Amino acid sequence: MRKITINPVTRIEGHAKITLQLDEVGEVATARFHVNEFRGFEKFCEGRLFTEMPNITPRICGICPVSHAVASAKAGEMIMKVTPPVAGELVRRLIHLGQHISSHALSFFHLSCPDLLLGWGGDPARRNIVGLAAAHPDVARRGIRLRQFGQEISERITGKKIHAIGIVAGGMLQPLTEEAREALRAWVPEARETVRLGLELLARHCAEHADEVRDFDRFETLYLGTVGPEGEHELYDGRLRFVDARGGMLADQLDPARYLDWIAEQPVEWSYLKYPYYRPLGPERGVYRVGPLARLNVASRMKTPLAQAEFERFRALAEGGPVHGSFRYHQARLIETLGCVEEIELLLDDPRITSDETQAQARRNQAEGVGCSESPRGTLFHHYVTDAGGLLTGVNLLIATGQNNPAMNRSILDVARRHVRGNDISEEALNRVEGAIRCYDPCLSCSTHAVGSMPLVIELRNARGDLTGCWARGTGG
Amino acid sequence: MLGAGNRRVKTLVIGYGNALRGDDGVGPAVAERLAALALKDVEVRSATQLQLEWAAEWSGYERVVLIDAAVEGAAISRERVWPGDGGEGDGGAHELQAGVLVSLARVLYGRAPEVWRWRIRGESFGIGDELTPGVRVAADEVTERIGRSLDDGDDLPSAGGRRNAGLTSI
Repeated sequence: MRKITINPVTRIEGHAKITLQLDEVGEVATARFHVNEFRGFEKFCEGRLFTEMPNITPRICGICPVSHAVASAKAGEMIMKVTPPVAGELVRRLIHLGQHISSHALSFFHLSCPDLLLGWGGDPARRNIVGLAAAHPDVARRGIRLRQFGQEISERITGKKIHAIGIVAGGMLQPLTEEAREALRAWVPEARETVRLGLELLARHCAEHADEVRDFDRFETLYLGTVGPEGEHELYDGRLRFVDARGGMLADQLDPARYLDWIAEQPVEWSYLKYPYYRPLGPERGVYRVGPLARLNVASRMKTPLAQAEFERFRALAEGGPVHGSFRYHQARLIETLGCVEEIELLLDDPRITSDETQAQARRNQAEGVGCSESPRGTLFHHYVTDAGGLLTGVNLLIATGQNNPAMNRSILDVARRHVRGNDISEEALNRVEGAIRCYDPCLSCSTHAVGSMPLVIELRNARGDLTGCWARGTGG
Repeated sequence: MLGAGNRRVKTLVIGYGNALRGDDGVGPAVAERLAALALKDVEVRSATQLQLEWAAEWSGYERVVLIDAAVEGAAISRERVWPGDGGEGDGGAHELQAGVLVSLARVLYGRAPEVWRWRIRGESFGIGDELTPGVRVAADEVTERIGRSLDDGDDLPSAGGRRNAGLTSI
């Protein structure tokens, strides 16, 4: 039996390794997406005041710090039994949308466009951001500008681009100034145009590679996402909806605070990532996906007109049902980005957003709190348990990449089985396996769990099941 | 800081690393110390990792000084960063390589700054927000050396000699 290892997977956020296990006739038998990075932030947070968490948790990740801060603040607000003032909610929503734009812009224009514009068979030394910049400088520059827009929202509100200090339990420390509002408004037309350009570019690729896009990988899963009261697409705040592989409603308007009633996690031996699943259906039938594709599959509609028009085109791909092809994550990401730009424009027009009343004050009023937000990669939960003094005695972070972990392995297997054949393993085939993972835009910097709870062991077995190699990482922090 | 012809050089200093991963946070720690010096014509920042959009910003500076943690090598080292150094971004500690940003600044915006990187070898990268004692001492030394260089007009000395003192332009 032959083992092929792709290590590291390039252009994903964090560290990862993929292992393909071939059987005796050279067919791919199993595929694994390993997580070797080791964080253990949950243990690190125990013993701290719950009110510190919106300041600490953004440092878990430089990619989606606002989603962590928002989920953390919401968990704190549940513990305090307090609701932020309207302006606090609006400003938080604004900064959250900005983060989605930044993250989605990076994912599409700089991590995925090298595949789309330079070709799957391209030289890996040039099939990257620098190669993209050389061959398509306008696309690269526009992507950078779009990302700058998202970052500038954060910077103008909080004074920081990356770690969104200022989001607190109870609202926001800083209001949005009139000057900042006007400066951000000026970005909107260009941002909208850039997203439209991205959608056109993707549509052209899909038309020119229709068979490939259709067959990229299209296994069926359940989907989870946040929706508004009428089932509308929602990123900042709402209730949870699960749909099945045919688009049927499994559960709707679920209180995020009761996520453990619906989601269970099982550890796997070969990764620090856990395997979450939809509890009522069990680990085999309960595999679900989160993130842009899932959010568009669970939503009844978008909230803004341009995004709604794209949403209708997207859903028409599956005649109104869920779109299963992982390649369509890219399209979903761009549709969400368009919706974010439109929603930002609406928020900036809301006269309440510049009010100075951005924070409500309260003390600890109950022991436990759960906060939920949609991060760029999917639904994010922060769950805190506190003692009487407000110190954390238990922390659980259920993050998007962890929830997509079972589906990512299915995607790798699906793609590898079609493109990897025994000794005929081309650079292009390996690129496609990596590309399957990149559809999910995984971020591993915040996706591992408690320190010391799980050793990582990689075993190599031949066709008879004999152990021929073993690599282990010890336990403990 | 004075460059060729005794004019002041517009300099950006960035200390980067994860402040919650022990000695990985030495870059931000040095940046914090340098910011407190309030040096003229020097902007100081800290970050968890390098950001793509900085390529645009870097093209507006004449010199960028990076401070990062290292897993191995000398206790303190410094090097010039050239376009393309480190490859495309290979899953290392901070993903996007400084050399990529230099390349992008040149290719997309027409000019790139002279980029220097200081590295401080860490001892512990576990979860935690404190530097080990040895790294704290190294952080003080690097702060002092960079601060003195930027303040008194000396050019930053390089381990291998200065290859290009001016702007890298195309």
